[in-house]
Amino acid sequence: MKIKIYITVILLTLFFRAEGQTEELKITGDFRNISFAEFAAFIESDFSVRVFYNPVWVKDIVINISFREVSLRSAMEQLLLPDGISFYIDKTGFIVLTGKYRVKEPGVTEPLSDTMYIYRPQDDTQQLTASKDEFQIIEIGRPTDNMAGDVTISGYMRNSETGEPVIGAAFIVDEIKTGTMTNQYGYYSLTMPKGSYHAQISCLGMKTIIRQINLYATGTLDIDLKENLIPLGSVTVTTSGGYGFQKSMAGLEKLDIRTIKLIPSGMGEPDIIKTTLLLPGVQSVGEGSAGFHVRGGSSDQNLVLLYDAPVFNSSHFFGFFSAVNSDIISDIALYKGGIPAKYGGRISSVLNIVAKDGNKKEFAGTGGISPVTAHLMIEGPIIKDRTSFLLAGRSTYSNWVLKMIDDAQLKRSRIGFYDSNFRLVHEINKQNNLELSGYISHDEFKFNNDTLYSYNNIIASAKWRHIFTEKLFGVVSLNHSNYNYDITSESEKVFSFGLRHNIDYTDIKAHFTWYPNYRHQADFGVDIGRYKVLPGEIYPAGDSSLVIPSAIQRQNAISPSFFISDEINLLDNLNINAGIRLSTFFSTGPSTVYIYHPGFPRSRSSITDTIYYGRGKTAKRYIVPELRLSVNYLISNRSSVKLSYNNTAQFIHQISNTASISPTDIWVLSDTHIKPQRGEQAAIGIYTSLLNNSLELSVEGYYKRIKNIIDFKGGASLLLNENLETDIVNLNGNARGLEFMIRKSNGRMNGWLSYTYSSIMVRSATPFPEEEINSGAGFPANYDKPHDLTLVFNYIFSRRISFSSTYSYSTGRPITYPVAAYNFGGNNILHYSDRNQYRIPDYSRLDIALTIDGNLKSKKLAHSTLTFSVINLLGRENVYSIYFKTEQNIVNGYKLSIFARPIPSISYTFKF
Amino acid sequence: MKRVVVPLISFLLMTASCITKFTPEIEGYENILVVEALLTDEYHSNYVRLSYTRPVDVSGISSPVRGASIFIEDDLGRKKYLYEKRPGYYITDSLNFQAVSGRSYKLSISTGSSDYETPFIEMLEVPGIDSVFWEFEYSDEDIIWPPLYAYQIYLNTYDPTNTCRHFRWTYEEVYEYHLPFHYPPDSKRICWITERSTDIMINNSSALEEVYVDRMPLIYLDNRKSEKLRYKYSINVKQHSITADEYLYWDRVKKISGEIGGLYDPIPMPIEGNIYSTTDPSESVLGYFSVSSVESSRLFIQNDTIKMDFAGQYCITDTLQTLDNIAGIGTHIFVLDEIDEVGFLVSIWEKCADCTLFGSNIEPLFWNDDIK
Repeated sequence: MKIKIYITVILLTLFFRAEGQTEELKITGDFRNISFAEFAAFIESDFSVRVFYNPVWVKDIVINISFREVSLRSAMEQLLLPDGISFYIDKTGFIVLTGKYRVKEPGVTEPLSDTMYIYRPQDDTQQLTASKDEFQIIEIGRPTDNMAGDVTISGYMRNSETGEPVIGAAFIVDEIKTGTMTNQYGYYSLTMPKGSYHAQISCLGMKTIIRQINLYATGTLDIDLKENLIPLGSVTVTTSGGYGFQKSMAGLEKLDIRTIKLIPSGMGEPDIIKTTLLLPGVQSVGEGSAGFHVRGGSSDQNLVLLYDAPVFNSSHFFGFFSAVNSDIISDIALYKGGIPAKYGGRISSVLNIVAKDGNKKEFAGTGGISPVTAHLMIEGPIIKDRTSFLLAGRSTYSNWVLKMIDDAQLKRSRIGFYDSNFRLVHEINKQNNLELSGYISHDEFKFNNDTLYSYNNIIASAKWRHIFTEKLFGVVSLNHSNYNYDITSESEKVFSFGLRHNIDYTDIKAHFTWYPNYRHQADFGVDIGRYKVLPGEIYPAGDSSLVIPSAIQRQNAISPSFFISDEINLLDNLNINAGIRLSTFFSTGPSTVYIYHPGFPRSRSSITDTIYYGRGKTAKRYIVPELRLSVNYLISNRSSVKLSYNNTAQFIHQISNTASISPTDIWVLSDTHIKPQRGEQAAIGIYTSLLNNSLELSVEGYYKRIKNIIDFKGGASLLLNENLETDIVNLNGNARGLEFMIRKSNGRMNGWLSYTYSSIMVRSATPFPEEEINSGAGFPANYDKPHDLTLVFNYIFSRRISFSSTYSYSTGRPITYPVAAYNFGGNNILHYSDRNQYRIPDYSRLDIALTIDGNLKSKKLAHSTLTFSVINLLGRENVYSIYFKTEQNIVNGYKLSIFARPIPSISYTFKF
Repeated sequence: MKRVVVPLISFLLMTASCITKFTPEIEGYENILVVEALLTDEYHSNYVRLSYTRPVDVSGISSPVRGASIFIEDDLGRKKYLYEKRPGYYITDSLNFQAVSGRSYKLSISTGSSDYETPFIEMLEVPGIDSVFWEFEYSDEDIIWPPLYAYQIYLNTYDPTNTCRHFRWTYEEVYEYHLPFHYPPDSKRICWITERSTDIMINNSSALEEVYVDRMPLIYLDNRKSEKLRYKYSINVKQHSITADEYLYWDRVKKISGEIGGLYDPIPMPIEGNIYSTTDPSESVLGYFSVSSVESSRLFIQNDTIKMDFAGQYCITDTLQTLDNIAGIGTHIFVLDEIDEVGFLVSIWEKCADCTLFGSNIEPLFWNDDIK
């Protein structure tokens, strides 16, 4: 209720700009046996005012009164106060009935005697434009006297301009203090008693609207939402809002694409991963390193989903750019705390990249150029309102630049990447939708004609969604993801070789959502995944090569998982999401499994037996029940506490012998010897909003245990290692952290400030002292950065010009330093400390960007935007890596900074 | 690999990256024993060098460990004690000790306070070197004088028996060096300078069908950066058979020497070899007891057929007029020069007047082996 009126009031203040003081209007006349509605119609026709009210409140009022030069305010008081109905008169000509709530005027510090009041917001707080629909009453079903029983309202929410689904939009019904949210496909369903309701529909980046609904029978209501064209208020990170209606997931962060596009992150390129790194609890090893770390998890523990298929390599250029073009994204959601039961397979987080469907109404597109890449995206209807397509591409032009340079070495070098997306969405009928999506990315580089490195991601997905009944929604999808790299070296003829690694993943998913009544929303389904991994293969390149072709035996596995969860609205202020996921994993043949003597560290010499498993035979089976629980308790209308507990399992692991992901790292599956990684996290969060909901405060704390992290024994070879299990040590980790965040979502000035204190300590878990790292003592993981401060500050000067800045500070990552030097065989050799005993200097960086929009006319042919940005404005030489060289018998340490000075860049984008 | 990519990328990003010196703060330094021990089937080459580590930012030679008792024991139980020839440098008596391939050896050290030993290590038979050869490169594309003359020296080897799968190579270069001036004493004008390899050159042939080491690059020489080829140059390459374990050791040392610590470099680790303390098993001991049989091969390069040009040497003379010109007296010597029967007293750098500062003025015995 409060919110509804609040919104209405704001709306009214801006809708018309009637002149004159409404309160000074005088009424004269006799009113006999008329309803309030008739009275309202009268004053609307005689004066330039409009009256807004809920017919339910005033239906019993019968007016029998005479006025002689009575002020409008006093007339309304005489009519309404006896019935306990408050109202508010706006100077621009609106009379708003506020029911039992009184309006508190700004500047009035004394609380009114009535504990229930609403704040009248400042005029410039939020700009909303109403559509006519707001004043219409939508009737669902035929009016009937039998108002007993529950009915279901369901439908899709769409973007009114593009026809694309609106995801995560809240549909809140004031009268029953509950609501629902649209799912990934923009579908919602809510079962509630028949009656008259006010539904508030709000979503990140969309204008909030209110619908009056008289619900008499089960029916559908599709809702079109308009985009908030002005980026005021778009830098909202969660869909919380002050009302307090929230789904119960703690640690869910959402970013919409406009936030990402506003923030200066790369070389003038909006970048999803770099923006994600600004969220509390998310860290990277260093500037320009691939992957990210969520709450103490390693980078292979994040499930990055595009079109519901996992992305195995989320970056280009080793991490300088995200693998997914931001042109195709509508928003991203990062689950770092409570992970819903429908997601599985990774233990730290889920980063769901929600792609655009393509505009169903008209052709549109964006394109642009930045110092590194050029990109173009087009979308449009094939059949208007039913079928849409989207095509996007992005590519570097660095190879062209390299050829222009007058340097023989650089001329023979190649470096570049491209990625491309395709999507087709077709509405077969109201109940059935079909989606086809594809993604391909390629990176390659070669320095001076020597070794060519190339790597590729390929994703294809087909999805059918079906509405069985208003209460049952289902999606069946077939997803495929492939990642491979190929290194070819032809420097020496007899040694010419190629080296390949390939991971091939296919799954079929059937997910259902059942909305039995407004207190429950059940999700259940099954995922069946099939993995095929080629850990490594070497082959001769060229006829004179003496290299023996050989391949490490392929790994095969089938992983069926089942899940069920229920979002229970237990009390009006208590929401519980409880679920269980049963993950199973079958490592299957053909495979040869070595059996090692249990009393010795695994090595080639401790093999006692070899077992061969034929095709399809199960060599090892893992069955892991994973519990997922989230509780959301509303303390008051402005504050809530959320608790979450989850445990997770992971059967695929990225193995690296370097501090950060490198492109030659390989993925391997769990098998007889490589145990699944297990995660367990408990988290608590407290959220509150202040100052008319414009300021949100949150504190989240977590404790996490990770088992069976895979660490590589130093010096062992990663590539073509037949007995990988002999070179692996398992680590167990403990992570904990506290995340503070203050966020202002609305207004010209918005952004957030977050501070995180966290730690991740790991220790080797092996019964054999010779396998222990640091003699079995705990040590910080490579990405342990205890203090992390982030400030995102945006200021909108006008609709055309906005300024954005980000500042990050964090403790330096741990490093292993040389502690002694000695001469050996004529060489100066360094003796290193135990693992990660030292830290590199602290990290600090300020980036700024200024965005200028070419023109404000929304109907213009092309809409262009220029972005000027400066990375590392302060010119601080942040350490990217530290290394040591022996020069003239002295060991010198050097630090490499990637962005050692301010880097200005300009990028240009256009929309049509 | 990353080291190439990062500059490439930062080049694209308008060369914003930079490399600056950085000295980390390390506290709690401790001395660790370092053992450098080489046992071969050659005459004369068995030695054990004992020293302690030094802090990273201190230059110079590690301090030797003197007065240790060291012996080598073979699998027949025969022990040979080493004697300390120089401080920290212990050798076997070549007259009554000769290691042979096929036997296993073990090293024991006692420093007085602690005892150390290695396991038995078999000396593997090494095949002969197939060839040591060079490839020549000439370039005058750039306008720099002199034109580039470069020699890349390679090695080929082959084991018909396919037994020796891991190799390590070392080499010793000798080159003739002439001072530019004919100042007396003339006996110190021509010298033979000896340099030993410091790079770790190893090869693992276990992935190949047959042991065939093809074009193993040993050293690159060019006339712009080095004087080695001006007159005559010789390289003697030694091929060592090493165990798989020793290969792994050198491979690790190689990985952590040079540049390391970058994000894409292997995470450095303390590398310990095959020497353990029997007094305190938790004590760190660095270094390696290397047991190998050796074959060698020599190559000569004489600058008389191609007649490479060299840039001028940096030695200059100064006519001594006033004492003010005598900069750094200790490094200058004064000679009487005669031009057109007029005598001048000139000062030149000591290193331009006495080549024995770098090498020996005695011609090596093998120096004319190539023309015999």
